[in-house]
Amino acid sequence: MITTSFKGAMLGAGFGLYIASFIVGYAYPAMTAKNDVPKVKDIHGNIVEVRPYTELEKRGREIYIKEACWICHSQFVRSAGMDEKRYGPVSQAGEFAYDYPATFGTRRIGPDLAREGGKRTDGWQYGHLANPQAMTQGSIMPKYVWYFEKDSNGEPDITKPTEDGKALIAYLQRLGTSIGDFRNPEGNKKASSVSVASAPKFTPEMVNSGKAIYEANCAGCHGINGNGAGPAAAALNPPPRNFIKADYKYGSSDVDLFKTITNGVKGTAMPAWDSLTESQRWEVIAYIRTFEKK
Amino acid sequence: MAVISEKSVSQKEEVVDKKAVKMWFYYSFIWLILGMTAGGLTSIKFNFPDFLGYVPWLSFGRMRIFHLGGVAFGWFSTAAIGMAYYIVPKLTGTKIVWPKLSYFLLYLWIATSTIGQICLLAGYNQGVEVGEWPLFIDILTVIVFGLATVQVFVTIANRKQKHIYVSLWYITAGLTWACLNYVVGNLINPYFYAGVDNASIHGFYLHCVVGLWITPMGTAMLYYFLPVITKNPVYSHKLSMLGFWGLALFYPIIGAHHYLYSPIETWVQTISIMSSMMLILPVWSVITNQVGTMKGKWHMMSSHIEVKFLVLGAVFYVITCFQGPTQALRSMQLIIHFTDWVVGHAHLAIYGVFTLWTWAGMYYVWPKLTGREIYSQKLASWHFWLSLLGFSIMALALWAAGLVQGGMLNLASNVPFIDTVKAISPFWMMRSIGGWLMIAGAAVFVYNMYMTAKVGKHIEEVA
Repeated sequence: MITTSFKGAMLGAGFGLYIASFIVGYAYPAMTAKNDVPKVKDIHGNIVEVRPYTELEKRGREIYIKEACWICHSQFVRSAGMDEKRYGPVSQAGEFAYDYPATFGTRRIGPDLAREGGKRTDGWQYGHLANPQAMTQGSIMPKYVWYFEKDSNGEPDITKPTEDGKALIAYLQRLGTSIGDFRNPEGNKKASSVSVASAPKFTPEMVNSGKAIYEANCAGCHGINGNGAGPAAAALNPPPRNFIKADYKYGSSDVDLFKTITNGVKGTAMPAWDSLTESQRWEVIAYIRTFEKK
Repeated sequence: MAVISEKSVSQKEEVVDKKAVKMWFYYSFIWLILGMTAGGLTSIKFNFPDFLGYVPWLSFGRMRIFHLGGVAFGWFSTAAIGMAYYIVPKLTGTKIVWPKLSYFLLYLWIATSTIGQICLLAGYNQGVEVGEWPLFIDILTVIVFGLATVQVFVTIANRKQKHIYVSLWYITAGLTWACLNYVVGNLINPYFYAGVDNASIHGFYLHCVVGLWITPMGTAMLYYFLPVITKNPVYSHKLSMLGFWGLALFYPIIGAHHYLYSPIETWVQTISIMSSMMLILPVWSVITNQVGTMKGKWHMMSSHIEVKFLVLGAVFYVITCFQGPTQALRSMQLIIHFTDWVVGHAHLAIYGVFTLWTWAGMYYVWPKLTGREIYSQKLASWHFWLSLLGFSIMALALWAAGLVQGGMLNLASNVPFIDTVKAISPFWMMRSIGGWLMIAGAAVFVYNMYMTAKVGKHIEEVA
């Protein structure tokens, strides 16, 4: 027979230490920490209820898991480093209370998505899902064309996402929104903080570097020729501006354009381009001006 | 005490069910190639995202989890159970009980793992990293592991040898842990724990797969094959026990280090970091034992392919197990977490250490199973050097990529994410090149094994 000490040891090591570790380090905190209470502190400091997923969002989460999106996109904003500046407020336990299983992720091959909700419009997301490279030059995300109906040419029609495609984007738009709209905490009341008096004088060098920035960041929606008909344009409502016609909505001076680029346009797919430096923004404007019909 | 030697290993090869071990190994070869090839194909998508077109089954996410399931469960777990069917009879001097069960479990495991892998490509995964197979496959997996565990335990109870050598400790404990851990990580956690608790327990599960299944089975092989091949007794039985208990004590609790700076309780994170650090203890005891056992036999590295693989694996083991604890520290995590650094670390452990040790064991066992000499020592040498070269390129590329991307993302907030992708793109290219060299090495190995079984010189003729 097995010697008593060996049996005892196997019981101790095999079951004892493993189960003891599980209880002390994992099951006990899970019982006591109340991480599964769906409540968070919102951007104004109030404790608010986290609402459960809608049926559509739930389905979207299933798609998110099915395509293993969690392999490349993490889903929590760390309380350290540049995470908060880069993605938004630090994640709270209550935000994940409905997640079976959690999709925290362990690798950021793409950006974190914990605060993705409301960052872009649905249209932008559809355009991106079908053709990420059109929206972000150099992106390595796969083209998820099978979440769209095909048009007459057999190409994905980004205005016609499938039910699963709609569900996925609904789920993305939900992510991180339980704490309120941290991107616009004052509602629409806050005035633009951009204060520039005059534009610099545009030089051919500025136009040149503006071209590279434009093609990397803007062409997906506004088109490589500035005609407002980039690959994602069809899904966007209101449509992206046509720079050839140059019929601007918020003023057509260089300073007006600078403000629009800096702040983005609420209610449209146009994001705030604070990731570009001020001189880069001016360079883009210098290039955009070259599209206009003289 | 039970120091492995000529005496304590049964010299009678007939205690081993050679056919069963051979079949388990053959099945592991299939996943070695499929799993690694899937990894190689996926890696190309980092540089060419449109590679393989827009077929859902071949899309990045699905291929990536197929790669992991293929190498961790299809390759290593199959090979490890096959090894148990070889090592346990040799160390107990008795046949594995219920011999038909070894075949039944293999067929069940072939069905389970194959269907599980197909499910991943078809889009059915349960969203648990390192536990992607869907629920019904998980239940079958637990049945296979559970029955194999019982079989090994009963065999040990029937043993002829009085002493229980350290390899048997590792194998029995590894199998027990694998069953328990698989139940916790795949059957309980995804369905009963939500959100933060779920992530925490997932970290626990994920690292226990590596630490309490892959590590003990790999260490069992090292402790068996090194003394048997070098014909030196194990340097210190006490050290081997220290290593075993150190592993059992410190390993299970380290999982939360996968989610530092998350909403998981800070003290849980801190314990996991401390335990990670303590793992240096069992690892160094294994390595000390390994070096001690090699005493006077280092020259065998030049003549024996098995020893080459064992020693190289041990070198990688030292690196992995210094890297692991230090990268669990908060200051280090801040930069390297979420980057390819960790991917490099994972490959170092699973490939660099445990796959290499498994290969070493296979080079030793395969001639005994087939009654034939290894078909070509030259090919074996190619296998070794392709693996070493390929893996060195891949690991260095991944670590460099991790530092570059981690630095760009975490030391400044105004670097757009896409710029970090462009910055590490050349490293990804290097990783692919290294990876395909590794795949070539593995293919040479499988070909060599196949040819050995088919046309290798009969050992009787040689002797």
